[in-house]
Amino acid sequence: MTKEHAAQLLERFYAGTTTVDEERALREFLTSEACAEAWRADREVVLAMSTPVEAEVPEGLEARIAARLRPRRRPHFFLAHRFSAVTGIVAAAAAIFVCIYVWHRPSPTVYADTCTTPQQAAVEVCNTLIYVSENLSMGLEAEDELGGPCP
Amino acid sequence: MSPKVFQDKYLTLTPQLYSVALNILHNAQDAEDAVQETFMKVWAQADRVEQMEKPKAFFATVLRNVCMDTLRERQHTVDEEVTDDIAPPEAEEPQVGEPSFVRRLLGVLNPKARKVVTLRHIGEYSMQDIAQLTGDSEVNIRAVLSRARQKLRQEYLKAMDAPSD
Repeated sequence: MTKEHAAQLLERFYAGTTTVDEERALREFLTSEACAEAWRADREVVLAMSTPVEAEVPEGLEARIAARLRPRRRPHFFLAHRFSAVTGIVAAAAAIFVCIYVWHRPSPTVYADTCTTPQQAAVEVCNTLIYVSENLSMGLEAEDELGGPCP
Repeated sequence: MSPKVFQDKYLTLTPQLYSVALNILHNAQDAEDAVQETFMKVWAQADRVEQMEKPKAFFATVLRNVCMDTLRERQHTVDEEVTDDIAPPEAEEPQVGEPSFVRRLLGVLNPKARKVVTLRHIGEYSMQDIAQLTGDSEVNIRAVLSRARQKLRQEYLKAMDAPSD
């Protein structure tokens, strides 16, 4: 930090507008060898405000702290990652179920060919046409009775 | 890291941490609780702390956060006894240049100003946090801090210029 920068920071320090980081930097500068003797008062004021009054540690405090420091137990992997484990198991089960369903689902009905030769198929077609025409004729006969198709 | 290693490495910070906690909380029991809680929280992250360059700074940060939580819970107010902590009653009047001299000057500040100075310089709390803890506005807190700093400087210079007996 330059002296000019320090002077600006000091001005803002006494105006109450410095940040915590700036105050730390200022304290570091004021306690360094680069700090001029002219800033002695500022150094003393900053140090006095930043230095906590030393207090006597209550008897046995360190022992009490030490007694509470127990070896840390590492949690079981699955207990530490419960949510991930449960989600993973459910996802795996769903995937297995889907695979089983796709594999074993009933295939759509495929009608097998009823005729073994083309000639046989032709005979069946003729029979079908005769059947349809006989039934259609029944419908057409009824129309004749009514007096023919509409104009 | 085993508890023994952790103790050997970091338990020596207890006096420093306790002093900071007491300065912020002004209550010995609360300060002790804060220090214990700090060690427990850092112990829970012992592996991470081992990798840090400045574990002391981490301890200080955790302690400040613990103290902030305590202060928020009870909105503690400074009592007049803190003035006596600045200089032991049986000590002689400190002379200019002695470390306790400027600390003694803190006695010229009113309780509110002392509290704000402590929270800012020892707790390193933001203006927003201090305003919340004191129930005042940030603008007022800045003004209090500014006046306190200027007053301390003036008193120090006055004492430096005063002829010694």
